[in-house]
Amino acid sequence: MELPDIKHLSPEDQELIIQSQQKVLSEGDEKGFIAIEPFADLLDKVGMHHESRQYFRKIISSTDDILTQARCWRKIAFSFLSQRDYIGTAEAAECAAALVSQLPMIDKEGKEEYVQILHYMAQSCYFQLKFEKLEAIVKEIKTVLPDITDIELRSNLLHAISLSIYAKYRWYQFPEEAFTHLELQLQLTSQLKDKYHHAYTQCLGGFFYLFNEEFILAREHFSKGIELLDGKNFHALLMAYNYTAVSYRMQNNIPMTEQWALLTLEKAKQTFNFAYVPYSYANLAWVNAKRKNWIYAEDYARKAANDWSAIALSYSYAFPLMNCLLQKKEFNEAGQLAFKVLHPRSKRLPGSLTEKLRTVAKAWVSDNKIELGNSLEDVIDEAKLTGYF
Amino acid sequence: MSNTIYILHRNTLLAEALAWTLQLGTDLKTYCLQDPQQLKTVAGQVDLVLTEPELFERISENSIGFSFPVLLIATNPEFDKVIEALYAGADDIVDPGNGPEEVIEKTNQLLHHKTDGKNLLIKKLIQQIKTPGKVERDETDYGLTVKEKEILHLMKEAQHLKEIAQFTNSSYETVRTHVKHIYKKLGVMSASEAVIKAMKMDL
Repeated sequence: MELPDIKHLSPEDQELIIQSQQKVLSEGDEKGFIAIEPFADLLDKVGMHHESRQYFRKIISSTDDILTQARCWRKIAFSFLSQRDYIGTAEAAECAAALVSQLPMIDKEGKEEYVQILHYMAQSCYFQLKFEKLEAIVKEIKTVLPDITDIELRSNLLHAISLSIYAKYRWYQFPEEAFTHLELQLQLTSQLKDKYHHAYTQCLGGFFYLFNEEFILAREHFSKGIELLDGKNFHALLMAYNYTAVSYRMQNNIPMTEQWALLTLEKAKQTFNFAYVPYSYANLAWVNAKRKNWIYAEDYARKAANDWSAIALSYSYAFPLMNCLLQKKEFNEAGQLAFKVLHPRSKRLPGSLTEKLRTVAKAWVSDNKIELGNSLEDVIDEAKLTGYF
Repeated sequence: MSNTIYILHRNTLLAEALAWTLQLGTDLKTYCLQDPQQLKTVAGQVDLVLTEPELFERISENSIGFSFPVLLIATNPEFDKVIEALYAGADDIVDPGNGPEEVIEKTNQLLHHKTDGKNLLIKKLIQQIKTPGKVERDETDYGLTVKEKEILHLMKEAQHLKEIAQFTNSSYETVRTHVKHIYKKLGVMSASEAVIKAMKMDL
């Protein structure tokens, strides 16, 4: 059993991994096989997702136990999700679901496994903007929720329900119902021994308040999340870093946005959480556009656009890029960006901004160059006024 | 099973934006084509075509007896080419200037055969012509044959060419040939002009 390259990890994490690996080696074949799973869990936790998946696959191919196989597929799904690989998540979750469907649902373990798989499937659909499928899964979750007493599972299911609310309201001005779910999740996860769940829920809380435009509350939650994560579980950590940058950006704070965007970028590259790389580029494009460094702004915005995975939040790079194109009088591409930002599965924007985007899209489609140029100027001004530039 | 959609537009930025719009959050497969002739090679795998009206005639020439629905991309629904394409078998119109939402809605309607907007424009046009005082009777028959008169009458009833072919037990191509002869004899360039003539002739 080879030890993966762990030099980039903290000395504490390196030690934990070495201990866990020694445990696998010191047990006999049968017990060693059992010890591989916590070893793989640990690798995933410290951000070594690819390596952890290899070990989970090894377990799957070495056992006939359906529940173990399903659990490992579910963990592979989580590992993909941590790297924001939604297609990988969906495929692994479907494998897990197919296996679990072979188990009798009266079996407690099988039922719990099924519930966890539903949670990952919901997340995969949410991130791929497959809202209809998400709704169907959440409907199923609501039927099983009353029977679930385990705190962690209940909190996960509430998380899936929250996601469907976020999607329905398209990440803008969430209703009271979402707030209630969040409070309940925070309360439930605070009772759990593993701090990760509470930390992640704190990060979600930050996300909730951010898009309700309550920036100080948002940062308080992100800060609590960062503290509890203690440098582990990078996908949650990067979520907190990234959206802290966005909160400063929405408040027009250039130095703080830059600082948090650079931190996110560095950590995302270091831990192979590449989904946050383009988002950081988008924030840096904004920083440079604000400083009127048009060449750098365009370069960052294009890098973000080329590798964009947070599709619902494409406004993030679109407005800085539109501004750069407006400077160069390249209206046609800017018009296309406005059209795309209006997609009904993308983040909802304030009404005044949406109306101005519609005017740009109309002028672009009908090839009215004068109207396009004028309306582009209007839309950039409105985006700046509303904090969505 | 996922549906396959082809988009034909000479404005590549618009075609690309429409393809992206339809794919986001769905299992639809979308492809952009520049030349209607390319449809020949994929004819069996087409669930829907979105096209600008100017290219519609070439689609029907290149996909003889095509069975897929066609959505016209047009900012001006009263443009002659639009009306012409609707007569020739296009199913509906969408104005992308109204934003991506309308494109998605119209596409879904056509994929699920829910559209009833077919030829609404033509019906509207006929309604306008029927308004008293607007029609001066024309006694000439322009040398139209019985068959041509029948087809012109059906065009006036707002049926498109595929339906006329079915109704008259003729092939789509035969109907198209008759329509070309009708235009020539009436001295008109479009279906809307032909319908106006038909109204005057009281067909």
